[in-house]
Amino acid sequence: MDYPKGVDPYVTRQHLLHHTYSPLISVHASYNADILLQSFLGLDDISTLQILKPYGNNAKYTVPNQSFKIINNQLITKAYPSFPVRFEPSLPELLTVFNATKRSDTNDAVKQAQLDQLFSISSLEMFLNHSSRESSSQDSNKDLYLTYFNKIITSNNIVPFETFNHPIAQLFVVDFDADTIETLRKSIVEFRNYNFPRFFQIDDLLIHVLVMYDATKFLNSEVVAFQNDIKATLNILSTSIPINTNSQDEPTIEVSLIDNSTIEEDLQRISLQQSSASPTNQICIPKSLDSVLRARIYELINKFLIPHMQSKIRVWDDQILQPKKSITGRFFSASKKFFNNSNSELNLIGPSSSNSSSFNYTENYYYKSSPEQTVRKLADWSLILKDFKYAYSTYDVIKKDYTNDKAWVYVASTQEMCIVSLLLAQTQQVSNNPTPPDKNTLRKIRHDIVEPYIDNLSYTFKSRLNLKTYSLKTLAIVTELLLCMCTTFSISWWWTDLIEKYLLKSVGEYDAHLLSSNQDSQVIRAILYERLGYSCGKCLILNGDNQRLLVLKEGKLVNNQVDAPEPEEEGLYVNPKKLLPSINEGTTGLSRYRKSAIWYLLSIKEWLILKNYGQIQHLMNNIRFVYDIDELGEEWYDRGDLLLGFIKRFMKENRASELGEDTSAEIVEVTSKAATEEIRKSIAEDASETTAVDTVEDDLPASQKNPHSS
Amino acid sequence: MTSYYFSIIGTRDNPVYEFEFSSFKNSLAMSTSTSVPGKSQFSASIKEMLPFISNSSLDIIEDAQWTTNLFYLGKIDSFYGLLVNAFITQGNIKFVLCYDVSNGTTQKYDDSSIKQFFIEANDLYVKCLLNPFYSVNDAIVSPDFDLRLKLIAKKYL
Repeated sequence: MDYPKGVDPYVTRQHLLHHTYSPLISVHASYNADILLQSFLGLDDISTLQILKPYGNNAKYTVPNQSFKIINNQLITKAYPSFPVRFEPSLPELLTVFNATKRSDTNDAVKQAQLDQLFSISSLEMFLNHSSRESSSQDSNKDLYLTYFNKIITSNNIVPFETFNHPIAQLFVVDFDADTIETLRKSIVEFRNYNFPRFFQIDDLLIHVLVMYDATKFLNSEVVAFQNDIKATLNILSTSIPINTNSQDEPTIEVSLIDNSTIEEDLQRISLQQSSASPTNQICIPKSLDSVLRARIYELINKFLIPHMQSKIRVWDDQILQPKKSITGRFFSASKKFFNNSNSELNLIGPSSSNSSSFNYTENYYYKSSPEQTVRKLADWSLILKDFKYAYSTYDVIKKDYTNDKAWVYVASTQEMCIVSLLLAQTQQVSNNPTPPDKNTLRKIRHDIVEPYIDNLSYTFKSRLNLKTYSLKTLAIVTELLLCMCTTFSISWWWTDLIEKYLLKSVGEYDAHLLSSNQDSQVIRAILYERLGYSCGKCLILNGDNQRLLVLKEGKLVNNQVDAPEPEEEGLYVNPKKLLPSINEGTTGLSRYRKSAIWYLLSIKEWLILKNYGQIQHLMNNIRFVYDIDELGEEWYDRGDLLLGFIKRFMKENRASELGEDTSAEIVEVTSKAATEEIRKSIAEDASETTAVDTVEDDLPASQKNPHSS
Repeated sequence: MTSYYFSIIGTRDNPVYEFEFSSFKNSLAMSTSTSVPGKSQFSASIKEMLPFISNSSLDIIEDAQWTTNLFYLGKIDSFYGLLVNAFITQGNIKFVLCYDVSNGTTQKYDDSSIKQFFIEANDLYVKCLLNPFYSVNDAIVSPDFDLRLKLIAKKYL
């Protein structure tokens, strides 16, 4: 039963794993490699990175029989159908962008200047406003909530306290023809000598070379010799990418360039597109290059990236985590604590560097080789490799150390990851018929982990560090994962109030932030209300089998009555005033459709102010079981002073005016005025049913044409 | 001054009686202000939502009715800064009272006075139901019912 319509939480979970908790590979392409690709594709302004970027998402760009084998720490091998990676610019470039924005602040309030907001809320509002207008004018009925969620979770900010955006591999792309080993060596040396931030461990980086060559000019054996040379002199493995320059005429495949972009990148792109006449969100890549790229990236991930991560995890686990967990380790840390307390006066006097903890209080980071930083990385990497349970236990262990050191930003981020890894583990579907966790587990998850951690971390992010965007991101992620859990085990009764609370909290924070800068958070609010409606609508306090007891009929979800019984005998008196039970008598109180409808109404109200009819039409479908949305009747909710009545009248007027325009366009063809009258009448009659008119004006929202297309 | 919205909802989710008012309790102290005593002070954006708020709380009422054997269900919901109290009659008619707490009043929300209000409103409703010309789920248009309900409201709220 697909009512109300909305983004499936499993889709958002998938996106979360693809866009946030996936390995980041930074790419450094040599000038010659860029030139080679540009001349091959005939595009001047394309970079190697831009071409590689979409192929990182190997759930979308697959190879036949794709499977990624991951061996976890218990030596259990699991195969996954996809394992997306993110290609980003090389680390020095990312850091320059990162530092450029940071250094503009003056040096006082160093601590605040150290950490930037995850994203700008006003840009988010601006972007969503733009895409809401776009989606109603184009024919794509994409879900705005998904856009919102993707933008919130996508970032390439490099921060010390989480390592998801720290590159795991560094790719050097060279051209076989023009680049020599010497130039490659130079760029690697240059890269290694870069002044990396002190929390970033360059030794963990997997360095790999991609050799591009023109397959029509060079033989494969020559390239293999070159690769062996690289291996011998630089001790770096490489992969070759043949480019068949003869293949200009073969069929091409369209690849989107805008996957996985952050809000700022998107806004930049939009403003660029508005200034230039040629909007290019897609490029055409010849089939041969496409298949080569897919195969080689698949090989790169499977042969080099995953084994590299596995071996690193195993080493860290052996050297740092296990000693920490062992009895002697515990004893040692306890004695260390004891020792520190007795010497606390000394520590107060001495500079913080002599402190036993390696936490840098002025700049808020752990040194790269400190066990705290490494364990955090270990946990993040094992989460990336989808070993959620192990990741959870690791986060849990390291959290205590952070708390002892009062490294608040680390504590908050680790608490976030505790919740996320726990919920990811819970929602990992192993079998088709999952057994729900028992009540004690649920109670523990909710009262000991989710609720206190969320309170704690939003306090830390908001009040201690003034980074409310991080807590907003956490709230968005956690609500989605909770929704996932609700749908998997049908335990909505346990989570719905919490989801509602967190969503409303986000709404409040967006409002407060944008009010202070004299803006309104209308689009964000509308989107979040829509999600609230969705979460309430999906809240059925019924087990899977019993859900069929619920009878859904348009406009009459609750007050639909069973049919009056026919008089069995002639002359038998049937009391016409007798109240008949409603169809859903048996499931009274087990659904939340009316609650869901009011949130949708609030969302519609926001869209009404923005005059986005496409969205309104789309959302109206989600309340059609509770209220009769098609025509203005005598029901209480159709009164003109109430919201729904107002909306309906408004939509009717809008539709009438648009139909008026349409028919006036048709006048040219029909000429006879009487005929147009007839058409207008017939359209008006079934206007509520469908507004499929042949000639559609440009400003008629696409979704209105086809309200059921989503 | 707290504003109230009281509605009686029939078995088909149809409101049969609606009434907006505000507390008379502090009206003397606030007589300097221009507001008419007893006139509700919901903002326009809340006003158009009120029947929907009581309607949406029916989901919770129907859920809560199985957990208690009392007719008075207490505070069952809060929405948009409004609190919702509910009462369910023997005939499955729901009384819903929405009131705002954000108006900066220091007045304690006395649960028992709301309960008393509901009980007396129920008495009135039963009397109304006894009228042979009234059938269930019809709108209550009797001016006498209206007057008496307002008196109860003035007395308790």
